[in-house]
Amino acid sequence: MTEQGILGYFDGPKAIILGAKRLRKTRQFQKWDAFTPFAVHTLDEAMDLPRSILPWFVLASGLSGLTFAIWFLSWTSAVNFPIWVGGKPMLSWPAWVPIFFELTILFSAWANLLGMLGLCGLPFHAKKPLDLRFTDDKFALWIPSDEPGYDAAALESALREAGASDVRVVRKGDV
Amino acid sequence: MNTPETLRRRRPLVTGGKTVHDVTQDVCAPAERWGSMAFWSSFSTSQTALFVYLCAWLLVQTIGLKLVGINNASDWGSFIVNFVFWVGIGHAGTLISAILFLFRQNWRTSINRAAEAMTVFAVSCAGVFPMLHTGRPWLAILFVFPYPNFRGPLWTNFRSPLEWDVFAVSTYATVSVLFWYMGMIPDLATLRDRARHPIRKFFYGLFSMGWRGSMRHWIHYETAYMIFAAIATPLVLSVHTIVSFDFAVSILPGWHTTIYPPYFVAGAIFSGFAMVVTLLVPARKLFHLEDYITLDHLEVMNKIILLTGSLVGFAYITEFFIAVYSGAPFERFAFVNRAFGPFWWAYWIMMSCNLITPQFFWFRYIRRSIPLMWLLSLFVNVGMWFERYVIVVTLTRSFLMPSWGAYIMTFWDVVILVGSFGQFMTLFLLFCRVLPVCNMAEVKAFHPDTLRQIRESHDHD
Repeated sequence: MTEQGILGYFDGPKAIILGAKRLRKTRQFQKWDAFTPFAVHTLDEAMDLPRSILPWFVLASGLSGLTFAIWFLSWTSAVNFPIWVGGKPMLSWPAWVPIFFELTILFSAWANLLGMLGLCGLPFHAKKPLDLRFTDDKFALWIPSDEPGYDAAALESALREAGASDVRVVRKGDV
Repeated sequence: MNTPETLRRRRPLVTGGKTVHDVTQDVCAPAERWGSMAFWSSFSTSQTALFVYLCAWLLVQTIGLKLVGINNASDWGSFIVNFVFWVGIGHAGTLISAILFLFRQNWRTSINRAAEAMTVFAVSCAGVFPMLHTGRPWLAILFVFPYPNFRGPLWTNFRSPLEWDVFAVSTYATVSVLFWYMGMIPDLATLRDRARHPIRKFFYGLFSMGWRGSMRHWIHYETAYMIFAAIATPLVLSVHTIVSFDFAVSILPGWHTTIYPPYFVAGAIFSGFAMVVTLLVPARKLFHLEDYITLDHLEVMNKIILLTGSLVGFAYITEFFIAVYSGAPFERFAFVNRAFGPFWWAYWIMMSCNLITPQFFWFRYIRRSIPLMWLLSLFVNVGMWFERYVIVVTLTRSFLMPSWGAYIMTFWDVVILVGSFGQFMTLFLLFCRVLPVCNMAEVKAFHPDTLRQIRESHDHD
């Protein structure tokens, strides 16, 4: 019966934002999380969660798409099978701009979706939902048991003081 | 930016006093109950049209393209007309999901899912036409994409607008599907968590990728959504620009004009919004979503139809004026021929449907009258199809005497055109039955109660 962590339910976006702020006044959290049916704006600031590094992946992928397009079109048109048409230049890059652009976008889009899933650890490191109502209309803060200084009793009272309407300790096999 | 102050003044995006839980109930309901009589009758009609469509294609591909009207005077005929028509329809979906997102138009939240679905299905309808136009669709994939081969190797012609089109439309289709799918992940998780039947659990579970609404995941998700909007915005503008290059880059009077890209993009958004209205007016009734897709939503879309319709009408007049004013005899002939030549009737259908129809939306009564807006949206759809018809078919009278000829759509052209609507409607109705029609997560995030609570949490500091 190992404890997995503690869930504090809040009655809506306002309660959970204020609750997260109140909790952070007295203690620090590194691994905590929240479960919400939609992206509650400003809750990430209230919980002091880091920004996503996804844009860098997308930029890198977009630039490699562009590089690939430049290399591939130059190689096919000027090296691999050059066709001499009326003395026109082989490296006619202005006529290739549409393809450069489209491949940049295509690579960025794939990196964006796969990068988002990868950073979330989905689907291969997906965990079971702790409560099926989180995708409907329930809001909760989650403090896992591997959080430094985890103490279920102290956290329960802290969550209740912060405005949680219900607190539940999750044990292995509970879900 | 919509500050909390401006939101306070606006009318709520969700009416009928619906709570956040009601949003889940109402949006999931169509996917969780047996379809109504109205649904099954429209679905079977669409499927019949789809079946006729497939039979018509089978016949045309087996016997040959001689069954349809294309000839030396008009090599492209109704194939390119239908292709450009369907690609254009798709643009409204991306405009709603990407451009309106960047402009913080929060009313888009309840209609973006259906509009994106429309994009995906419209592009799939469009993609059929160039492939089958080759006459050897089983080889078409080898004609259009570069691949290593033993003919030189001979690569595709990357300097050709038709090849640009291959890249533009395939990228557009891919990005639209990815964007649509990513936006659906949280809602699929909602359906998964509500599912009782193991088959439903399995499939919604598979496609929701293990989403469980974690705030750490929402941060990545919101970033990815923003990036998708940011890359889809230039993409959607580029796609119809490149489609217009199919015409504008060829050195032909009437086609070789710089006005084509902006005028095609405006026309695409115009026709797409008309199609959104055409679809959503019955869909919101059929699936009981009147409190989410409200009259206010429809009114805003009608305003966009008015704006883009006026842009398109202005472009028609501009290009005619420039053709006459330029003094270039062939250019002038191309336009006079459009308006007064053998295809005058098509030109005037186009002018009246696209120039006059949207102007009715200056009147608030018409913007908010559901039967009238639906009727007008149908006229816009017809008009925009005829726009492409006029552009393509009037070239059967040009400065090159040998290219003169008669282009007449045959019975099979008409069956294929009607049948492509069968494909589109079948896919759209299937979507409405198995997937969430509104973006629940976003509707909840912009629910009047949510906005009030987030505002109050700021005031509290």
